[in-house]
Amino acid sequence: MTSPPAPPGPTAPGRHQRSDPTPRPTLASRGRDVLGDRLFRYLCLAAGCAVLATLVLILLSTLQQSWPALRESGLGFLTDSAWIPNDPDGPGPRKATFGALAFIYGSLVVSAIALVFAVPVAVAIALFLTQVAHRRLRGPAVTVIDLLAAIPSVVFGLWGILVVAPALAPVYDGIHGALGGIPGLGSLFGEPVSTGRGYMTAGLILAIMIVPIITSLAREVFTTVPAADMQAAYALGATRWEMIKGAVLPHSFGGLVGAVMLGLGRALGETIAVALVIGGSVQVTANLFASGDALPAVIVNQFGESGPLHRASLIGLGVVLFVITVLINVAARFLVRRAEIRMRGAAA
Amino acid sequence: MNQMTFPDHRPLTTAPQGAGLVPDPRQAPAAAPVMNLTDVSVFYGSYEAVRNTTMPVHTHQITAMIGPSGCGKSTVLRSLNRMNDLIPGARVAGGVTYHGQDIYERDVDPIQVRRRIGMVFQKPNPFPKSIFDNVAYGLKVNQIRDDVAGRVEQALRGAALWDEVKDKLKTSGLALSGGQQQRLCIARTIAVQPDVILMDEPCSALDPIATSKVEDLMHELAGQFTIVIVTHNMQQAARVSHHTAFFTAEVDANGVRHGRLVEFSETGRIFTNPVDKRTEDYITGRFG
Repeated sequence: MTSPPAPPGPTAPGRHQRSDPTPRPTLASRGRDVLGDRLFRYLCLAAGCAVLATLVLILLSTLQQSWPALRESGLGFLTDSAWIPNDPDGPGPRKATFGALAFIYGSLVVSAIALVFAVPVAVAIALFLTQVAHRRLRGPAVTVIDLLAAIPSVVFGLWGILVVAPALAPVYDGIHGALGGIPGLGSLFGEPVSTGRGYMTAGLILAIMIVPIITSLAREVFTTVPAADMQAAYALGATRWEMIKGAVLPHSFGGLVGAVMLGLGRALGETIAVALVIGGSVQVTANLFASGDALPAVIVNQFGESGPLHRASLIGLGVVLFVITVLINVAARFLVRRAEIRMRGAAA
Repeated sequence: MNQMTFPDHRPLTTAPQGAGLVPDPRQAPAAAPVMNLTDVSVFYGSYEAVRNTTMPVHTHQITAMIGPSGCGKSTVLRSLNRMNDLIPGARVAGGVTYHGQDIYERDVDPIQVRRRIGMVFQKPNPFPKSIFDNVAYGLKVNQIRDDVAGRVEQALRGAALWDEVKDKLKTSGLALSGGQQQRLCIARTIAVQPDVILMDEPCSALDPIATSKVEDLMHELAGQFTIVIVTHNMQQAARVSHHTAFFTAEVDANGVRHGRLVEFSETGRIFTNPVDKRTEDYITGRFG
C-alpha cells in the first residue's frame, strides 16, 4: 500500500503492539463491491422465487380449470373407479361419471413395478461402475447407459407395442399357468390380456427408461463416499461386498433415495410410452397382467375430444398427479431426514 | 483390561485347510519378531517411493516410524497389511513376513492378512452407523457371531471409551468428539482381536488431551497387541515406542526422490545416541 502512514494512535491495552507505524488500512466499503454483491444476491433470490412461483401458478391454474369437475364429482373423483365421459351405448345422454381411482391405481402400480425392477439393476450398475469396473471401462459404459436416457419415450412406446408386448404375452401365460393357482399370490398373476399390453409391460418399459437416471445419480452418490471409510472397512478384513455394505451403502442412503425419487417422478409422469403399452381399460384389479390406464396416459388420449366437463375432469387428473408427486417427495424427504439423523447423530 | 479370548488362527490363504498354519504368537519366543521386512521397496507405477527397507516388528512392543514428510513411512506401514493393494499401480518388492509367512505370496489372501493386521487411520473414520454397530461391523465381517454385545463392550473398555458411551451405544459414531471417534476406531480394530495394529499418525487430528488419552491407550494395548505407529511427532515416538525406525528422503543420482530407512534401533538409543548423522540432525531439529 502506498498511502502515507497514519499517525500512531493510542494502542488499546491487550491489543497487538505495533513496533513501527504501518499505513492505516482502508476498511470502509467500496461502493462498487457492495452493489455487485447485492445484485448477485437479488438475482439468485429471484431465480429461487421463480421456481416457487411457477409451481404455485401451475397448481392454481390447473385447480381453477378443473374446479367445475371437482365440484361436480366431489370426493367421488378420488374414490370412484368409473370413468364414463359420455353414454357409450344408449341413445339418450346418460349422466357422465368421472372417477379417477382406476387411473391413480394404474399410475401407482405401474410406477411400483418400474421401481422394483429398475432400482436393484440401477444400483448394481452404479456399484459396478464405481467399485468394480476397471477405470478404462468406466467411460464407455457410462456413455452407453446415458445413451439409453437419450432415446425419445415414443420410441420406447413403439418398441413396447410392436416388440415387447407380443414377446411377453406367452411369458405371462406361462407365469399365470405356474403361479396363478396359488391363493393370494395367484391373484397378482391372473389371466393375462392376449395382446400383452398391461400394467406389467408398461412397468417394464418404464423400468428401462428410468434405469439411466437412477444409475447416473447413484454413481454420483457412490463417488462421494470418503476413501477413508472404504479403507477402514478393508482394514478390518472386509471383502469388497462387505465393504460396500458397511461403508458405501450407509453413506449413500439419502442420495440413493433422492435418485429413486427422481426415477419415480419420471415413471409417474411418463405419458406416451405408458399410453401406448398399458392397454387402456378402466379397472382396479390386483392382476398385474391385466390392462389398465394411468393418469397422464388418459389425459393425452382423451384431451383432444373432450367436452367442457370432461376436459375439466382431465385437468383434475393432472392436479391429482401433481399432488401425488408432491406427497411422495415429502414422504421421501422425511424418510431421508430420519435416516440421516440416525446415522450421523443429531449434530449433523 | 479384561482378558479376551484369542481368535482362531486360520491360514492366510483362502484355501479352507492349507499349508502354512499361523503359529500362536503367544507360544512364539518373545525375541522372535512377529513381522520382518527384508529389502522392501514400494513402487507406484514405475516410481520407487521407498527403497530397500529392512527392519523387524517386535512382538507386543510398539514400533514407531518417524521422519520428514515424503520419506515413505506411511507407505511402508501400508505395505504391512497390503493396504497398498487398493492403490492402482502400487507394487511391493522384497519380503514382508508375518510369523515367517510372506504376505505377498501368490496364494495369500489380502483379506486374511488384514483380519490379523488391523489399521487405525490418521483421520478418525467411524462409519455412519451407531457406536455399537461400528464396533460390531468388524465382528460381522469376521464371522464372529457369539456374544457380540460382550465383545463390543470389551473392545470399548479396551479402548478406554466404554464409560463415556455406555449409555448411548445406539447414537451415531459421528456424533462423538474427534478424540472419542479415534478411540472408537481403535475399539473397532481391537474388537476383531488382530495380532498387529498399524496406526497411521493416529493423533495428528486430535488435540493434546485426546492425544495423551490415545497414547496411554497404546501403552495398555501393547501388552496384548503388537503396534506399529507412524508419527510426525518425535516426542510422541519417544514417549510411546520401544523401537524407532527413522526414515528420510534421499535424492539419487538421477534426481529422483526415494524414501529410505536410515536407522532402526531401540527408541532410547535413537533419541540419545543415534548412530547416523542424519538421525541426529533430525531429532535435534537441525534437519534442513
